[in-house]
Parts: sequence; C-alpha cells; structure tokens
Amino acid sequence: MDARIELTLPARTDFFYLVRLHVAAVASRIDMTLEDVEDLHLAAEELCMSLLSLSPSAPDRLAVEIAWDPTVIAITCRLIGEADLGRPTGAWTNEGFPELLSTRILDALVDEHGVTMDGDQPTTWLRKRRERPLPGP
Amino acid sequence: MTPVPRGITHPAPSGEEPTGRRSDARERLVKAHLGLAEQIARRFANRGESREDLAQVAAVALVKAADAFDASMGYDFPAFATRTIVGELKHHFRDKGWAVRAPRRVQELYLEMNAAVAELTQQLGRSPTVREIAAACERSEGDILAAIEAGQGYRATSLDARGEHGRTLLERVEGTRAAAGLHDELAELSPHLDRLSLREQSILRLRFAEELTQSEIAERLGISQMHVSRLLRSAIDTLRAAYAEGE
Repeated sequence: MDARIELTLPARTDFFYLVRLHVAAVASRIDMTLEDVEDLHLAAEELCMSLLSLSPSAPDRLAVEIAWDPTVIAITCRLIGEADLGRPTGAWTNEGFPELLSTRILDALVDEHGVTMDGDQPTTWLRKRRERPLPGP
Repeated sequence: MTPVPRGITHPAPSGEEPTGRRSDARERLVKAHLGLAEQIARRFANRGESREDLAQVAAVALVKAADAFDASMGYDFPAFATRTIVGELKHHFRDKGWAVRAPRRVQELYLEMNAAVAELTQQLGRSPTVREIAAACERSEGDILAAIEAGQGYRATSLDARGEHGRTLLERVEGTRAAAGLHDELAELSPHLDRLSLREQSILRLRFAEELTQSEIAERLGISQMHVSRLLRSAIDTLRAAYAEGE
C-alpha cells in the first residue's frame, strides 16, 4: 500500500465518526463513488463493532489503520489496552449481536474481510477495491 | 401540470378594503398560485421528505404569502410567494429533517448536495464521486465530506408516509420483497430479527440477503441512494440495540 493513516481512539461508538471521516476522505482521494463511500462508512463501523464483540475483555482503545493505493482501501482494527473498570460509560456493547450477521453485512459491503488472531487478541480487517467510474457522457 | 400564472394582476389585500373583498382576493391569489407552490415543492423532492408533506408546507406558505402580500410595495406576487415558499420549505427541512442538529450552513449544503447527486446519477448513469459532487456544487471536497458526515444525522423519512402512488414506502418495500420471492436467510441467522419492524427487516434483506446495491434499492423504492444509506444505518443500529436489550 502506498499510504496509510493510523488512528487510536476510545473504544466507544461516539468516537467511531472519526473512523468514518477518515475513511471517507481516503475514499474520496482515490475517486471512489459516493455509494462506495457510504458502503465503507457502514463497513468501517461494523468492523469496529465486530472487534468489540470478539474482545476477550472490556477494551480500552481501538487502533485503526487505513491504508490505500490508487485502487484499494484496506482497514484493520485492533484493541489496545484494557479498561480498569469494565466497559466505559457510553461504550457500545456488541454483546449478542450475531457474528454471522456481522459477517453477512460485511460480505455485502466490501470485497474481502476477516479476523486474524494473535494469541487471544483479534484483529479485524477489510479490503474494498475501487470500481473505476465509467467516463460520463 | 398546473399552469403557473406569472405576474397576474391582483388586488392588494390592503387595510383599506372591506374584509369580504380581502378574503376573496386572498382566495383568488391562493387558487391562482397553487400550481406554483406544487412546482416549488417538487424542487425539494428526493431529499428525504414525502412529497405530500412538502406540498402541504408549500401550500401553507402560499397562504401566508397571500396574507402578507401588499401590492403597494411594488412586488410581483409570484416572486414574493416564491421567496416565502422556498423559505418555509428550507425551514421545514432544517427543523423537521434533522435528528441531530448540524450547523445551518452544513444542513443547506447537504440538501444542495442531495439534489446534485440525483442529477449527476441521472447524467452519469452511476453514483458520482466526491470530486464530481464538489465540482457540481462548486464546493471543496472537504465541504462535501463534511456534508456527507452531517447527513448521518438526517432523519429518514417516515416509511409510513404515503407516497406519490398512494402506497407507503413500507408497502413498496414489501411489494418488492414479495415480487422477488426473497429467501429468509437473515431470519435463519437470527431469531432477533423478528423484534425489528417489517420496514427494518425489509431494508436489511434487500441489501444483505439479496445483496442489491444501494442504487438498485433506491431505484426499486423510488427514493434516493443517500436515503437508502440512511435507512440501512438506522436498521443496523436498531437491530444492534434489539440484541443488546435481548441478552
């Protein structure tokens, strides 16, 4: 990948808009269509949410990497640290949300996605290729 | 289409006239310009509000314009009414359309962007890029990205509102579902789907079971792709909340 952005943010849904903003900015740089940008919005959030459900403990922070080249965007999401007092107030709980449903949602939104494990620490990732817009009339 | 009278001569509802004459004049103004109100309301369509609601807002604004109009000020009534109706429609969108308040400048850009996206999609035969939208709106790409993000707070149209063919969006979704003979793969995945409304289930099925694109869903339902995007987000959020409560 030619370029990358790395973000660390509290593991709370009210900070996920930061991921959406950066993903949209990168998608715009490589001329993805608005539809793809909005699919990536949903997918990036789903990626963060699904990571929370895989976490063996209450996560403190998320590290999100957005990497891209002229034809593809890749996002990876992993956990950093543990919260001392359980899930912080306002954190989204993904408990009970079926992993298979998350998978189905990501299937429809991106080209590839998955989970890799480093010991008991999961990393969720996705890749979406740009469909080159056809020239307009 | 109702013809729009332009610059017609009409009596001014000035205080000098007897009440009956003022009332008649007002009624004539309103009747003569209902077509104008409908035309303006249509210009605001495809922005997430039902056409009926917009037509009603425009009609009420027309009545307000007729009440306030004073020909002695030298204004042309259609121009005066147009300003009033457009102002009321913008006010309606600002006050009623946003679940999360966004700055007025961003709200108006979002609405402008919606219209540009609809036009570009028609012209290009595909979803436009952010760069293309920015060029069409004569704004920076950063402005457009900010408007897209702000649009996440835009309230989706009530799916229970009756549309132009007298059917609710929900009924259109359900009609599409029945016609397509959709399988219930998602339902097999999760019994909690039953806790969602039919409208939420339908939108999820179209996107994630049938894997229609947002544009394809938009075309089937007669709504904008950006509106589909908002509905999808809302459905997923609702489903997630249902799970959180159910565990």
